[in-house]
Amino acid sequence: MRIDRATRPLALFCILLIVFLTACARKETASKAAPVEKAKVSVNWEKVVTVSKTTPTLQVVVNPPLRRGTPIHDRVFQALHELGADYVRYVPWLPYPKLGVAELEPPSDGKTSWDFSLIDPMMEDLMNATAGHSVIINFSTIPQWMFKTEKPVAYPADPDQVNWDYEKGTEFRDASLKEVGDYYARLVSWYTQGGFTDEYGKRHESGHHYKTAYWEVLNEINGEHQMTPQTYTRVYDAIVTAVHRVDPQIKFVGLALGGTSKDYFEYFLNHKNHKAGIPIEMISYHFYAVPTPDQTPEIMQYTYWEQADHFLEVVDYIQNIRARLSPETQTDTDELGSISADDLEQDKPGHVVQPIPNSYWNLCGGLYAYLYAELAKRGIEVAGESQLVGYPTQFPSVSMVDWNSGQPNARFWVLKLLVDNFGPGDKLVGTDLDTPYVYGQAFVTRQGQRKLLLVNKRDRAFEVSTPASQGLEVTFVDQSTSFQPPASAHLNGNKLTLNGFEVAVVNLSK
Amino acid sequence: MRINRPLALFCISLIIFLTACARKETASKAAPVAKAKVSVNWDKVVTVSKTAPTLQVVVNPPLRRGTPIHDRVFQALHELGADYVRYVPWLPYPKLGVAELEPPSDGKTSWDFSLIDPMMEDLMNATAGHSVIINFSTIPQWMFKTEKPVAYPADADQVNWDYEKGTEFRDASLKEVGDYYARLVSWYTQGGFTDEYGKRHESGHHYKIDYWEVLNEVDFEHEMSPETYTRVYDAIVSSIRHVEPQMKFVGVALAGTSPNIFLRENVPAYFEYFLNPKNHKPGIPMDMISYHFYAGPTADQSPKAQQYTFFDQAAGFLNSVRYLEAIRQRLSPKTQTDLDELGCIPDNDNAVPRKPIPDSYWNLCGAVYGYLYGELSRFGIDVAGESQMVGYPSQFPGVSMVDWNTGQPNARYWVLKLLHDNFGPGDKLVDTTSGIPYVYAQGYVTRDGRRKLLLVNQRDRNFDLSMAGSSGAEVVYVDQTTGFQPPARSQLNADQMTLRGLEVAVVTLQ
Repeated sequence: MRIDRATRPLALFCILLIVFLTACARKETASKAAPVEKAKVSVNWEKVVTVSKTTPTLQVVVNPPLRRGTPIHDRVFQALHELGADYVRYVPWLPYPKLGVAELEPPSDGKTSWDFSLIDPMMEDLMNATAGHSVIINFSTIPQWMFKTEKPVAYPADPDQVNWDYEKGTEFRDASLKEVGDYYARLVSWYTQGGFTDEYGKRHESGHHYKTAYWEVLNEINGEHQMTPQTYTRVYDAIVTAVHRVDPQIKFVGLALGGTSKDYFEYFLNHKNHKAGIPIEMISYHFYAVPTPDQTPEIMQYTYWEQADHFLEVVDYIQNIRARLSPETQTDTDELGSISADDLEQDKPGHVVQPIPNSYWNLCGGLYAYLYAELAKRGIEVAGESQLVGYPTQFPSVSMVDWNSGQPNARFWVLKLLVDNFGPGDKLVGTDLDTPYVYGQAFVTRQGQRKLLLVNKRDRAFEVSTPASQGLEVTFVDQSTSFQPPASAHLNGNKLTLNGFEVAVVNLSK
Repeated sequence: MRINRPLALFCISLIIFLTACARKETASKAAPVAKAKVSVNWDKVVTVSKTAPTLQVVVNPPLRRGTPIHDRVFQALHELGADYVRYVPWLPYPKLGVAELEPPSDGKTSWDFSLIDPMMEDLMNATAGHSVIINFSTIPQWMFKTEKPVAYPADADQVNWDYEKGTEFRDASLKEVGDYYARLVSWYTQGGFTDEYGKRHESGHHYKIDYWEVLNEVDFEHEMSPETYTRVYDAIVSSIRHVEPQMKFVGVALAGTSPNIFLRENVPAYFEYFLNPKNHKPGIPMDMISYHFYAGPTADQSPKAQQYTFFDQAAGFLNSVRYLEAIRQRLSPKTQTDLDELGCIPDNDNAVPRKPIPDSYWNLCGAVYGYLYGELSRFGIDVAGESQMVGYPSQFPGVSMVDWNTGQPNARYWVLKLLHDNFGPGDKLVDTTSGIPYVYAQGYVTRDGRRKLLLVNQRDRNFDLSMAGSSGAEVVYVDQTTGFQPPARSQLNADQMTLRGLEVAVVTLQ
C-alpha cells in the first residue's frame, strides 16, 4: 500500500499519538493483558517511623573504559554529572596499578617515580562531573614496594592490562608506618594543595586545589593485605595523622570492609584503640548479593532478598556496636550490589563471560531500592551503589552502564529515581503491605510531598492498590524502560500494575 | 504358576541387601553428577565442640495418653536418649499447660494438674537419666489486665490461639506471677505446695529438673520489652530459687532471631539489655539464654526454590549467632546458649485443610538441621535443639518430627538421631573443606578418638565426592530412600561416594 505525501504527516501524528497514549495508559492497560496477583499498600501518614539521614549515591572504580578517548567515556561522565549525587566514592583500585598508584617504584639514589600522568585525567573528569557535590576519595592501592615480599612485585607495562596479583605481603617495610603515611599525605597535597615536596626535597606542582570532602583509608582491608583489626587501626591512624597535617579540613572514612566481620567493628570503633585525637568520622562496609553458580534467574528472585535481609540484620548489630562505642561516627554502606557467580571466575585463564539477561539489571536495581529504604530506617547516612562501570574481566555484573555504549542500565536509573525523589530529611511513615512480594515505603519528603516507593521483588506483575487517586504521577523503572531513563505515567484510579522487578515512585501530592 | 515363597523372599531380601550395600557406588552410575573433593586435615583442630544435639517437645493433644501415636512417639523420644530435652506446655491448649486457670477467690483456688501431670510424667519417664529444660510458658491469663476476662475452651484438645492477652500484670509487684511458678516447681520437685489460702496440695512428684526456662518468645507473647521481661525473669527466678535452690535457668527464648521477624525488632538491643548483669537484681543467675530459628519460605517458593532459600536463611542466621555470641561474651561470658527451636515453618502451615507436604521437605529440613548443628558446634554453642517432636494439622504440621497419624519419626528426627549417635560435646572439629558450595562437610575427631565426617547435601541432586582414605569407611545416612525409616548403613569400597539429594551422612573412617 502506498501512502501519499499528504497523508504522511497525519500518519506520523497518529502513530505518535498512539505511542503517547500507550505510554500514558501503561499502568492501566498492563493489568488487562494478564490476570495478576493483587497487593494493597496502607499508609499512615501521621506515624513517623524515623527521619531519613540517607543519601543515595554510587561508587566509581577506576578502570580503562573510563579513560579519555574510549567510546563510553563521555556518556558515562555525562551520566555521573546528571545524577548529581553527593558522597560519590572514587576508587583507583588494585587491578590497574598504573592508573591508581602514583609512585610505582621506591625512591632511590635521589630519584623518585612520582607520576600522575595517567591518574590525573580521570580524577579531573571525576571532580568536574561531581562539581558542587561531596566526594569520597579512596586511593586504595598502597605502592607494593612498601611491603616486605620475597621478591619485588611486578606490574603490567600496559596501564589497561588487568592484573589481580599486584597486592602482596602483610608486613610494611617501614614498621613505623611513616612511609605509608607520607605517601598519602603527598597524594592529598597533590590534589588539594597544588603539589607536594618529595622524599628528596623536590617540589612537584599539580595546580590542583580540589575540595575533597572525605578521604577513605584503604579498601576491603580484611582481604587486601589481610590486615587484622589491630594492624588496620594502626595504619589508619598513621595515614590520618599524616593527611591531617596537609589538609586539616578533610574528613575520614574507615574500614571499607568487604563483608561484615564483627571483630573489625568492635576494635576499630573503640577510641581506646586509636591514638589520641584521631577522628572516626565515618565507617564503611559492603554488601553484594552473590548467587551460587547453580542459581537460575528464577531462583535469584528469591535468594537475593534473603541475602539482603541478612545484611540488614547485620546492619542492626553493627549499628548497636557503633552506638555503644562511637555514636558520633556516621556510616556509609559504600558498595551495594550483586556479583554474579560467573564474575567470580573472571580471573581464570580462558574464562568466557556468560551473557547477562536484561532482567538481571532490574532485579539488582530493585534490590538497591529496597536496601535504600531499609537503610534509611536504620539511620545509615550513605547508601552507595556499586559500581558505575564494570566490564568483562572486571566484574561486568556489577556495572551500572552498558560497557559497550556507556548507556546506563536499570541499576543506574533506579539510583537516579531515588536521588531525584528522596534524601536526608525525608520522614519515613508507617507503611504496610499485605504481600511479601511487593515492598513499599512511604515518605513525606523534605519539601512536604507525599511519595510512595514501591519495589516488586518478583519477576511477575502485581496489581497494587495504593492511597493514590486519579491523575497522580508515577515514575518507574522496569524491564520495558530497561536502559532508558525512568518513564512516567498518570494513574487512572488508585490501582497500578507493578511489573516484574519494577521500582516505582508514586507522587501522592500532585 | 507357583512361586517358591521362601526362595523368592530370600532372593528379594538378597537383592535389597546388596542394593543397599552398594548404593553409594551404584548411584553414581545412574546419572552424570557434579564431582567434588572433600579435604580433611585431621591434625588441625579448629575447636572443641560443646554442642549437644537435642529437640523440643511441645504439648499438644496427640501426645496425650491413649492417642494412636502416644506410645510410638514417647518410645522414639526415649530411644533418642538426648540431653537438654525442652518441654513446653504452650498457649494453644490452656487446659494442658496452665495449672491455675481461674484466679483464687473466696478461699478457693483452681489448681488442677489432672490433665497436665500425665504428659509431664511420660516426658520425665522417657527422658529418665537425661537432663531436661522445662518451660511452662503460659502464664495464667487472669494475671494480666484486660478489658474483660479471657475465655478458654472447655475441651482440652481444642486449639485456641487467643488465650494470651494484655501486656500489663494485675500485680505490678510481680509477686503473683513469681508465686505461681514457685508453686508449679514445688509441685514437680518438692512433692507439692501450699496454695494462696494455706492449703497443702500433695503431688508425690520429686523430679530432678535441671533447667527452668522462663517464658517463651516473649517478644511476641504479651509483647514484652527487654525491660519488662528482665523484671519478670528476675521475679520468677527469685521465687523458684526459694523452692529449689539447685535449679538453673534459661532466659529470653526469643523468636525475633528468625528470618523476617528480625527486621521488625531490635534484636541486638534485647540481648544487650538482658545479658547485662546491671539490669538484673543482685544474685540473679543467667545460666543460659535461648533463641530460635525457623527457615520460612514465601508462599510462592516451590520445593526447588526452597533448597536455595532455606540454606541462605540458615547462613544468615549463623551470622546473627556470631554477633549474639560477641554480645554474650562481652556481657556475661559464663552464660551458655541453647538454640532451642531450630526448624522450618512452611507458609500458611496451620491452614485447614492444608496442602500436602512432600516427603522431600522432611529431608530438606533435616539437612538444614544437620548443617546448623555442624556450624553451631564450630561456634561454641552449647545446645542445638530441633523443633518439634509432634506437630499436626492446625498446630504447625510442617515443624513435626514424626508422622502425626502413625507417630513414626520422619527424616528430621532421624537426622537428629544420626547426629546424636555420632557427635556431641568434647568432639574435636578439624579443618575441612567440601570443595563445592552445595555440600557441607565437617570432620570430627570424636570423644572416643574416631574420625568421622559429617556431610550435608544442600541440593536435591546427587554429588560424587572423593575423600582420601575413605575406602572401607562406614556410611550411615538419611536420605529420601530412607524416608521415615531409621538411618541406613553402607560401606565404601573406594575413596569416593555419591551423596544423594538432601542427604545427611556420617562417614566413619577405619
